[in-house]
Amino acid sequence: MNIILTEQPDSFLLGSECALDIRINQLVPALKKGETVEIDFSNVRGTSQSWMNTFIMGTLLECGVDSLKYLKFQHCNPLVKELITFSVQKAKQRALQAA
Amino acid sequence: MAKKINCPRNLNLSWLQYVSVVDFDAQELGEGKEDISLFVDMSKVTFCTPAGLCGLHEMIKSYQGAIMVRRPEKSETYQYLQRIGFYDNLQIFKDKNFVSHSASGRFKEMTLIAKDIQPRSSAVDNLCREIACVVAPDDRNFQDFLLFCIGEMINNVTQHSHSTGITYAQFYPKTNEVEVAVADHGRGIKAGLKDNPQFYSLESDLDALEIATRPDTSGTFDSASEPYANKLNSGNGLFYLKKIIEKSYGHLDIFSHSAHYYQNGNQQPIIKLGCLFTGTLVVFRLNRAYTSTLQEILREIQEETSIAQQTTSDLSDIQFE
Repeated sequence: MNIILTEQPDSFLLGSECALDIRINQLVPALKKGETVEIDFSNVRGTSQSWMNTFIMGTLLECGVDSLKYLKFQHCNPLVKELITFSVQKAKQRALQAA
Repeated sequence: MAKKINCPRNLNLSWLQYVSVVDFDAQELGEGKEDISLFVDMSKVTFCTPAGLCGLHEMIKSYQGAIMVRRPEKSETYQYLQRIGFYDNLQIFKDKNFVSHSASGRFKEMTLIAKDIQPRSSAVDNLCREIACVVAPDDRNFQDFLLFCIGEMINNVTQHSHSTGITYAQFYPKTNEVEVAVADHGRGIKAGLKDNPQFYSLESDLDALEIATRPDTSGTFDSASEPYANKLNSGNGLFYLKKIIEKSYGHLDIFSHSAHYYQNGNQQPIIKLGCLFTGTLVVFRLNRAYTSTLQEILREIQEETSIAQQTTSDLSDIQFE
């Protein structure tokens, strides 16, 4: 499955409600079916950390951090990579604390 | 008894720390004005900042009943307030007594944060982009900081305040600083935190501000209507803002009910009792001369968080393509 986050060039994604919408309706259902999901960050200049946490950390905590192996992050600029890395780190820390 | 707010010449952050709402006999305003519940005297105002304007705006919005505002005596000030939409948003002084012209990279008109920008649309993104592009038109690096910080604050209003809010930003060429204010007249930070059973017994506004600026703290953990639901909330919005201010040598003020949080760059924050502010007002100032990138700052925060929590995660399994 391929998720294209935005068609609008130079987008800075901030509304966490949007992130939740994609997570609930596309990302989590695909992971629960065992699909590999390619998330396309083309056109994404950046996001707030809350946006990324809603999207990535929320998914990993909902589906398990092992589901990270089914996620492929495409066309990420350095800032987006940093935001994803931080979010994954947070998810792993929380999963560890919960265990 | 009606209430009165006396506005000083400088409607700014300093005023917000000492503002008082006093009892007032509405009959003093003359015949037919007896039903006025709030009288705001802006006659002396000659200078305003985003902090002062957003603070006053939400103080007025928090009042039920008839409101009367005395306009600034200085016509330039009155026209400026009209032009930035201060009166439009309060639906008073509807005459358009000003000449519209470009903001010239100085300010973005006051914008309501209302219900229609909440649900699953890109309205928050577009609003923040407009603000960042106006006050820092040629500086993408600085825009990233603004977008990141304003986005977190607007999300807080839409997700936690249970009210509408307002935002306003201005660039000051003399100091090279941008001041951004985001205010609401909602339930305040303490009440928001108390949605989380962990903070159910929280009684102090001072403690609430200290807790809200820690990492991984939120009142929405148990709220099914929030983005994280099922205890998956991040609760890091104010924490990130605090860290960015710390690392970029900016300034951060948060007013929520009786508490005032102030942070000057990387100095220890001061949290003290102040005047009563219904709702929450967040004001931050960043200097455009700051040259690090948002990416660099986030990397530093990430490393510090790892050290503070004494955890190291293997992140080599993230698949970037």
